[in-house]
Amino acid sequence: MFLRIIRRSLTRGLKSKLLAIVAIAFGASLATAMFSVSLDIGDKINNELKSYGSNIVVEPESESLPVKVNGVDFNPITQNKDYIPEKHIPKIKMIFWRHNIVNLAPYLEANAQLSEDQRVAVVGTWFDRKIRIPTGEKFNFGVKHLKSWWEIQGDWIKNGDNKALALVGREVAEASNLKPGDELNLDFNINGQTVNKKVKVKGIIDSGGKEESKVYLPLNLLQEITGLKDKVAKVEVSALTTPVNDLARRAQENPDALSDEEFEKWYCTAYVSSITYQIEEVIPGVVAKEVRQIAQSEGVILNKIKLLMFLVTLAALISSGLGISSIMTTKVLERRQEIGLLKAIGSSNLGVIALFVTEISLLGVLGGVLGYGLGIGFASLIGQQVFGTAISVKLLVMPIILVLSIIVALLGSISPLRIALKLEPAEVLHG
Amino acid sequence: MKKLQMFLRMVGKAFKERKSRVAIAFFAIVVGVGIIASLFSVYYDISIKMSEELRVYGANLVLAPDLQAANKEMNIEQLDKIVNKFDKDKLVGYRPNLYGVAKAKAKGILDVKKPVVLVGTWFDQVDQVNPYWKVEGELLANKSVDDEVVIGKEAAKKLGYDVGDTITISVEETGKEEKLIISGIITTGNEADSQIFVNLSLAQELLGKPDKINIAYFSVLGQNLSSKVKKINKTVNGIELETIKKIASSEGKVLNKIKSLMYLVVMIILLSTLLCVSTTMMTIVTERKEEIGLKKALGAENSNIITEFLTEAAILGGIGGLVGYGLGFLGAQAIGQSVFDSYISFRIMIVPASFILAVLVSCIASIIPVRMVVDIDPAVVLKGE
Repeated sequence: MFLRIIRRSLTRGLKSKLLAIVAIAFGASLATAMFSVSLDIGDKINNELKSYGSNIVVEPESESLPVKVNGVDFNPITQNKDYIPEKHIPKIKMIFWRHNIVNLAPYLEANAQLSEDQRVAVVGTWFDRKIRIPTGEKFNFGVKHLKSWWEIQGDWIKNGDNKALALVGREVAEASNLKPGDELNLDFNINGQTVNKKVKVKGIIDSGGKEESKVYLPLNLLQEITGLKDKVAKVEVSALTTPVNDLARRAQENPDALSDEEFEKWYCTAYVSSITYQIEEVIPGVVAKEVRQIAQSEGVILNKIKLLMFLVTLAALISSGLGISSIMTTKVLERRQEIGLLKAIGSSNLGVIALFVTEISLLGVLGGVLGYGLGIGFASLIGQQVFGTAISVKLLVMPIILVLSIIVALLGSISPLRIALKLEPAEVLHG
Repeated sequence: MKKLQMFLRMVGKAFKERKSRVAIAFFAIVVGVGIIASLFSVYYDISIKMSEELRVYGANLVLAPDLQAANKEMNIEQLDKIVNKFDKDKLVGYRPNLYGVAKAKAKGILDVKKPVVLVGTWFDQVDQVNPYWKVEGELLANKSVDDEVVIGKEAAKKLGYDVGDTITISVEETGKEEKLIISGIITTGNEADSQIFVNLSLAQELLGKPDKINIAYFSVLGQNLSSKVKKINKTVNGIELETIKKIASSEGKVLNKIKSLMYLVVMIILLSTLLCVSTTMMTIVTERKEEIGLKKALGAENSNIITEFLTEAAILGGIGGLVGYGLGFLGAQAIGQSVFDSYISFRIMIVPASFILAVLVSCIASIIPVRMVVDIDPAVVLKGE
C-alpha cells in the first residue's frame, strides 16, 4: 500500500512535482559546479603561477662564495669550481614527486670579450631540449618554457645542440648594434689561451631583467668552448608545490628531527622542502634551495584563492539550499488536504511522515542526479573558458551532492509538515 | 477612487493573510539577491585586491642608469625624482642598492679574508619590496645604524658567523675597515644569500661613493605599468626605469585568469540563484489558482488580476531586493575581511541594480503562472469548494 501511494504520487502527480525537481536540479547543479571548481582550483592556479618561473635552484655544494657584481665575477679562484654532471639532470624528473616537476633548465656561465673593452657574461643553457628519462617518457625542457616572460625579437633557438647560434640580451645588442641574423664574435679566455668563436644571432631577449646583459648559447657549445664537458653550474627547476604549513616549516629546519610518521607524511606531500630534499637525494653533492620569492609568494596567493573560492562555494551552497528548501516548504503546504485525508482515513502521524520522507528523498535523488550532470557541464565550461583545460571530475562530489540535496529538501519540509500534522483533519477538509 | 482603495485593500490582505507564503518568497528573494550582491561587490574589487596580494612577489619595476652612464652609477637625487612621479597610494615601496666588493674576515681561522659582495640598502623598505625574505634575528632598525650588518645565509655559513657575532669588513680601494655586529641572517634562495647588507650611508662611505646608488627596486600597484614607465622615461636623462617582466607580465596573466574565473562563477551563481528564486515564486503563485478563479467568478477582468499580482510581486521584490542588498554588502565585507584583510568598497551602482533585478525576477516569476491559469474557467477550479 505504502509503495503504491509512492508510485502513484510519482507517476500521476509528476507534473506538479516537476517544478520541485527543477529547483532541486538547479540548486544541485550550482553546488556541483562550485564544488568541482573549488576542489580543482588549487592545481589550476598553481599551474598559472608557474609563469613566475622556477621556484627551486640546484647548485653544487661549494666552499667558495660567489662574488658577482653586474654579472662579472670577482672571485679570484675560478679554476677549481664545482659543477653538476649534466647526465644527472634527468634524475630530477625521477624523484618521488616527479609529476610535479613542470620544467627545468641547466646553466653554465663564462666570460667573453665582445671587443677590446667590452666584457660580457655568456650563458650556456637548454632552450627547448627533448629529454628522455629511463622510464621512456619524453619531455621538452628548457628556458623557452621556464621563462615565459621573455620576449624574443627574432626566433627562439630550437634544440640547437652544437650549432653556433646565440640569443643576445637587449642591452648587449644595443651596445654592439646587433640584429637577428648578424654574426657575433666572442673571445673566451680559457686557461690563459684565447679561444675565438663566431656565432649567429638568432634572436634578441627583452626580459626586463639581468638576462638583458648576457649572451645565451646552446649548453653543449659552451661546454665545448670552455672544455667543461658534461658540466653545468646551476639548474633551475619549476615544480608544483603545496603551500607550506607548520610541519613543512619544522622539516625545513631539520628533517632528521621529525618522528618517522611525520617524516613520511612530509616526504609524501609536495612541499617545496620535500621536493628539494628528494632532489638532493638523487643527485649527490648538490644543494637544492627554494627560491623564496617564488615559492613563498605562491603559497600566499594559493591560500588566498582557495579561501576565496571556498567562501564563494559556501555562498552558492546557501543560495541553492534555500532555493530547494523554500520550494519544498510550499510544496508540502500545498498538500495539507492530502495529509488531512490520510489522517482522516486512519493514518498515524508516523505513517504520513514516512510517506513524505520517502517521496521527498526520491525527489532529492532525482533532482540531485539531474543537477549533478548539469553541474559537471557548468564546471567544464568554467574550466575551458578560464584555464583552457577541463576541470577534473571528482567522483566524491556525486554522493555529497545527492546527500546534500536530500537533506536540504527534507529540512525544508520539516516545519510545514509539523504545521500540517497539527491541523485537525476536519479543519482542512471542511470545504 | 473606490476602485483604488479596493485594490490596495486586496494587495494588503494578500500579504497579511498569507504570512507564511509571503515570508518564504521574501526570504528566497533576500537571500538570493544578498548572495548576488555580495559576489558582485567582491567581483568588482577583485582586480585591485588581487593585485595588492600579488605584491608579495616583490618589486615589479627597476631603476638603473642607462648604458651611457659611467660605472653604472647614479645619484640618489635621481631616485627621489622618480619616486615623486608615482602616486603615494600606488607606490608600495622602493629600495635603492649600492654594490661593491669588500673583504670579510672568516671567523676562527687565522686571518683569512674572503671577498664578498657588499650591498648598501634601506632596511625599512624590505618588508614592502622583498616580503619573501626570511630573517633570523633582526633587520637594522633605521637608516642611521652604522655598526650593524645583515648577512646572507650562504655567506654566514661559509664565513662561519652567527647572529650576534662581530665581523670585520674592509674595502681595498679605499683602505677603510669597519667592525660590525651581525644583527640578522637572511634566507632568500637567490644571490642575496651570499651577499652582506649594510645601511646605504655606511656602504657609500666604505666604498668611497657618496650619494651614489647602482640600482633601485620599486613595488608599484596598478595596471598598464609599461605605458606609465615609458612616460616617466621620457622626462629623465641618464637613467632608465624598466618593468621587471618576470613579475609584471606574470601578474597580468594571473590577474586575468582570476578575474575571468570570478566572472564565470558569479554568472553561474547568478543564473542558478535567479532560477531558484523564480521557481519558489512560481509555486507560490500557482497555489492561488482558486483565488484567481474566485476573483474571475466575481467579475474581475484578466488585466485586473495580472495588475494585482504584478503589484504584489513588485512590492515583495523591491523590499526584498533592498534588504538583500544590505545583507549582501555585509557578506561582501565578510569575504573581504577573511580573504584580503580589507574592506570591499561600496559601489552605488549595485544598489539600484539589486533593486531592479529583484523586482524584475519576482514580477516575471509570478506573471508566468498567472498567465497560465488566468484563462481558466472559474467553475473548474472552484468545483471542490
